[in-house]
Amino acid sequence: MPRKRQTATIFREFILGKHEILFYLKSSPASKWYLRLRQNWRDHRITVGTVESRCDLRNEPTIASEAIRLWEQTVLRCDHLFSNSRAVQQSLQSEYGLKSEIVPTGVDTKFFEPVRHRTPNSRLRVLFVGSLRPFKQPQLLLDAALRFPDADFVIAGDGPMASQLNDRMRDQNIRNVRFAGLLAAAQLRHEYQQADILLFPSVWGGIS
Amino acid sequence: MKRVRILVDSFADKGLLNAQMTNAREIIRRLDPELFNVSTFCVDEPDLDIAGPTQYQADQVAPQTADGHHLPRIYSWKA
Repeated sequence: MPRKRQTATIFREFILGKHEILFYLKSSPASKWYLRLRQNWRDHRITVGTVESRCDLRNEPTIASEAIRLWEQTVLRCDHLFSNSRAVQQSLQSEYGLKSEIVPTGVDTKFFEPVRHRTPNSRLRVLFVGSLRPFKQPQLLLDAALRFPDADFVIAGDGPMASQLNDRMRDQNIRNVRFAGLLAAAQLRHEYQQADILLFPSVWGGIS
Repeated sequence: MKRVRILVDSFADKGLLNAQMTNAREIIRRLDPELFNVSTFCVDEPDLDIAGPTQYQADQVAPQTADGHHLPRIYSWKA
């Protein structure tokens, strides 16, 4: 879908919608236009933004400065802010001096539920789920795969490091890692259910 | 009692697993339908489980298409 049309549709709903609260305002051009407009407009509707990662974004090289600026101009200018953890709340306070309330990240536990009676894996299965970016450290899965050749490793996700990881697997002949790519909900649930260990080596994020 | 109307700036398409969208969906699911009326955006098939299978009905409020492309639709969940 053309992005400009999407932006226009969302912006129009921001302006003309009958809502009293605009919640979960995203870092987007539509949000930026709306927040600029309401500065000079007696719009009494409440805006609520959520912050779900640490706020020292400039320390993460894969996030463009333009994206950080847009985030600062949108989410951080909401009337109220939620953080998804105490670490994020503290980061928001220390980086920007902004207060927020903690609303933990939600999980559909009816959908993402363990299998009660699963046939044990013949080899230990280790799962990584997330975007393939430096701060998520997916390369540690390859390190672990080399160190533990009797275990199987699954990487679910995609991102800028995908080709680099694939190249390393080929160069080092790593055979006990499977790239699952981006998965639909049911497939992802299956991977979670079949895994023995979830490896989450991210050094930077929102849950801590 | 008049319910508070909330527009959630997120997409509620079925199968979208972006962490932020998932979180927005879970928050929507937990809002009391007696107190809140929630609308959000959707490009393709909405995840009706947001509202629960029996408690709510999803109403398509503003469907739009142009040049064969789907534009975001706004879905409203009501008790």
